[in-house]
Formats: sequence, C-alpha cells, structure tokens
Amino acid sequence: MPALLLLWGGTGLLCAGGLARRLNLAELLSLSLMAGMGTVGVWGLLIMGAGLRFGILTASAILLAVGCFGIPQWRRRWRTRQRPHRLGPVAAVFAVLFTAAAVKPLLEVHWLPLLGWDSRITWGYKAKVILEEGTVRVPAFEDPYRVHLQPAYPVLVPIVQAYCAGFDVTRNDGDFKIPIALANLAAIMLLAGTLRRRTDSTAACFGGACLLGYLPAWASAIEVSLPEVVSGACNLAAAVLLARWFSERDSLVASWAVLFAAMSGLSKGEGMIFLFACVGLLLISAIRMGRVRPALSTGSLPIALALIGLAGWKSLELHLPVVCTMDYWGLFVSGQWSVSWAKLCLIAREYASAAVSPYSWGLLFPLYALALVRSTREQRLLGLVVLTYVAALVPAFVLSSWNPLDAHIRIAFPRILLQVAPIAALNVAEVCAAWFGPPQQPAG
Amino acid sequence: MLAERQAMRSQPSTTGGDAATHRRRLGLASAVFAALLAVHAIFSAWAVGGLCYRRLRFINWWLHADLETHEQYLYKPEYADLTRRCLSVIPSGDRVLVRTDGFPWLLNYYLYPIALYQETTTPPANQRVFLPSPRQAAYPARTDIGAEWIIEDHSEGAGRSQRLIRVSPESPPR
Repeated sequence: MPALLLLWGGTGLLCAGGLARRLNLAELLSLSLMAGMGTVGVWGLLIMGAGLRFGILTASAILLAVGCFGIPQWRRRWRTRQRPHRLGPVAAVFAVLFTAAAVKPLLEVHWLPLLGWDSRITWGYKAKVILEEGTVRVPAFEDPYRVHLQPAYPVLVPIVQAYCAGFDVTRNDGDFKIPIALANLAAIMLLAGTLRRRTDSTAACFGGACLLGYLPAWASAIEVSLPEVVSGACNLAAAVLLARWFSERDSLVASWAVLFAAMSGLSKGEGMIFLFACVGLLLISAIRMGRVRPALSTGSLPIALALIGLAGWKSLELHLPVVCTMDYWGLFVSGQWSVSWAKLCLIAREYASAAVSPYSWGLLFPLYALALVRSTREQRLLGLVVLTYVAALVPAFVLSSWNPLDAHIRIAFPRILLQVAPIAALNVAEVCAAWFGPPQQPAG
Repeated sequence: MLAERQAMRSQPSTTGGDAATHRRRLGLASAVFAALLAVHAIFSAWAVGGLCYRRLRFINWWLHADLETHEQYLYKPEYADLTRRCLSVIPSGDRVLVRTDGFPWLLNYYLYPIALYQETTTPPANQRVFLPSPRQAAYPARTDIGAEWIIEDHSEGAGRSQRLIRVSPESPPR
C-alpha cells in the first residue's frame, strides 16, 4: 500500500516536473519510487510536530493529488505499449535473477523483523520515536543525557520508515525495512532502464542490473537494512541524470539530478559531499556551455523542491539542540589535526584493501577503474564526482579518535563505498554493453 | 554515445601506431576486462550464494522458532532476561538509569518509550566511542536524572554477572 502510494505520487511529481516524458518505463518506475520517498521525507520534515497521524494523512493526500498529474502519462504509455520481447535463454536467466534480487527483500519485510545492529540502534530507534511521537522535538532526541546513538544524523530515512510502518496497525518493526527494499528495487530497475537506453540487448540490461543486485556487500546491506542503500540509490539517480545532462545538455534533467543528490544528503550525512560535488561539476559545465539561464527557468520546479528539502534539513538541524556524537562540523572544530605520513599511508592501505576485498565487492572497483580508462567524457566526469566523494571523507579518518584507527576505517569505509557502488556498477555494465553487446539500432 | 564510441573504435590512434595496433590494444584491454569480469562473477556468485544459503536457513529457523527463542536472538542472550523483565515491570515513559560500562543501545531500542539513561565510570557515556562535538562538550556529566528505576549491570566489570533491576531509592514511593 505505501509502496503504491509512493509510486503514484512520485510519477505525478516527475510528470509535473517535466521529467517523465524523457524516461523509459523502467527509469520512470524507479525514479518515481525515489521521488515519492523524497516527497514523504521532505513533507515530514516540514510539518514535524503536527503528529504522525496527521503527517501520514497529509503526505498520502499529497501523493494522491500529485499523482493525478501522472494519469495522462500512464494513459499514453498504456496506449503505446509494445508486446514484450521474447527472451533468449541468457536473458531469461538474468531476468529470473533480477526478479529474485528485487522481490526477496520485499518478501523479507513480512518474514523477518528488523535485525541489523545499526539499523536498529541508530536508524530504527529514530523511526520508532517518530512513529510514536510524530516528531523529533521530544526528549528522546533533545535530552542530551538520554541514551541515543547519533541523534543528529539526517532523518529522511527514519521518516519514510515511520510513514511505511504507520500503515500497519500491528506496529511491526519489520515494516522499517520497506524503504530499503524499495530503494534496492529502484536502483536495480534504474540500472536496467539506463542500460536499455544504451543497448538493444535485454540480457545486457538484466545482467547489468544483476551486477549490483548480486554484489555481496550490497546484498548484505539489504539483509541488515542499512540506509546506505537509499543513499546509494539516490546517488545513482543523480549520476544517471547528470550523465544525461552532459550528453543532452538538458537543463531540466540537471536540476532533477540536483534534487536526487539533495535527497542523498537528507538520507546520510556524507550525501552532502556528493551534493556539493554534483552541484560544483554542474555549475562548471553549465558555465562552460553557457547554459545557466535555461537551467534557472525550465528547472525551476525541481530546484525549488531541492531548496525546500534543504530548508527542511537546515530547520531540523537548527531546532534540534542535541548532543551530537558524530557531526562533521564538530569533528573539524574540536578534532585533533594530527596528520602524519604513517596515518595517511594507513588510510590509503585500508582504502585499497577494502575496495579490492573480493568477498565484499568481487572485483567491481578494479573493473570500474579499468572501465574509466575506456569510458566517455561524461562517465569520466562522474568518476571525478565519485573520487571527490571518497577523497573528501579522508579528513574524517585523519581526525578520528578511534584507536586503532584501522578498525574505524574497516567499519566506515565499506559504507561509503556502498553509496557509490551503484554508479560503479552502472559504468562497468555500460562498458560491458558497449564492448560485448550488440549496438542499439537507430529508431526508424 | 555508443556511436561516438564506435567512431572512436574505428579511428586510428592519434598517439602512435596504426589502426591495427590500436585494435590490438583495444582487444587486449577487452580481454583483460572480460577476464576480470569473469573473476568478479565467480567471486560474487560464491559470496552471494553463501549469503543466500545462510539467509534461507536463518529464515527457516526463524519461522519455526518459538517466541522465547526470538526474544533471545533479538535482545541478545546476555540482555534477554533483563529486557523481558524491564518490559514487564517498568511502565511506559518511566526513567531508567543503567549503570554499565557496556553498550545498552539495543536495550534502549526495545525499551522505548521507557526513557533510558546511562551512567558509566569513565569517560561519560556519550563520549566513549566518538569525539564530542562542541554542543556535546557543553553538557557536563550528569547522573541526577531523577530515575524511577536503576539497572545495575556489572557484567563487564568487577562482580561479573551481577545484573539486577531495582526501584531507585531517590524516587518517591510508588
């Protein structure tokens, strides 16, 4: 029920924002889910304090109302639908694997409660408080002496978790897994949809999506319901749209890319770095292309939405006087800048060993590095965003008070990689499709 | 984009060598890429296969386990009794002070809306893992939170396994 509402409202939002007609069906479905989650999260931030019941009712009403903008789009797509292709044996195998990767997390929502450590004590606790109180302005967040790990983390994911769980009268904490399962679905569908744009091979589309769906660290993160899956899906959405901006120079697409990057920032603190990297790259390329003005006119709606989201996040930060155990500002102000060559070497070594750990990532990141060598300009620019994102988090480890430091890196760095793994999988799959798959036939 | 790449493929290299050399290099790069991809597929299949096998066994075990076993698993065996007792004895919304050097976060998750406070020996509870932020540093250590209940947990210190729950002597009679 909440998933359908998110999809319905998200599609309407994409139609109203002018993006829907530029997308194929898989892209539309996946970005709609993400946009629906973003709407609920931003709305939840803005009306926080009015009570969860009111929040759920109004968010659902907004999704239902905005979803009406999507009706002409659904009708047009239904009228122009084509008979599905007959799948070859390889494509059929990949299609089965794709379906299993998409459906398993959704089935587990009903079979298992919330099980992960972080997903319970950090994220689930926040979702539970929001579910019970409807707001974060309660002692559980504001009382500095209450036991609460990381109270100042962004709360977009807990808000969506509380929204999804609010539909279930049994108050089952397994419902907190719904946004994670939906983000996984959105990410792998978006991969398939983007590859569909590049190649006619159905096997390549499903196979490319399986590259992410069956990545050991990704599959493991879904099992323990880490919000990095949501952040990773947002980063992928932003990256896909940014790549289209580079190739098509469509400013509307670029502004939607910023919107999804902002959503990543609202999901995880590190996402703000991704947002800054995206916006920086976008501005530089827009100035070089002389496309600043169209970006401000045609993309005004998504930009306005992004600003609302950022305002919501900022207002939350201002109105949440809690002790913060892990905010980057606190780290930079009160941390001890003891940079040494040995420390940097340790960080580099741990980065490298985490990135090439075969039982976590297979060989995805070496493949990504190789793919970047033969990639197009826009893929390399996206690689630059990924590199900036990963490198910008080095100071967090330099300032870390953990002793030994490598324990901190081993816990935190895979989470950071998890957020860029979908982009790496996309690039590797694109190169595979271009090198080994049949080229796309020109239309007509 | 594909057309651009195909055009690049068909053009001779500008850095040196002729078109045949360029094709050979491209072929070599493709072969390395294909080999890495095959190794990646093998590793991923092995790791995800193991993951799925363990998960299916876990789901099967979970669906057939009784409520007590579920609680043991969720609350952790060492905290299961305590969590159960707290949930049955302490009214919702009461304040509980936990005296422990351990991490009572899981207890906190399952006890909510019971308010949990922690008292440690040293350093203060919120500064044990991460650096304090400026806002956090502004709050001095405090234990007089007027808790109605106290949980003594010395399982990590002297007098192991001494874990008891009692009504706080400071609180008014209930």
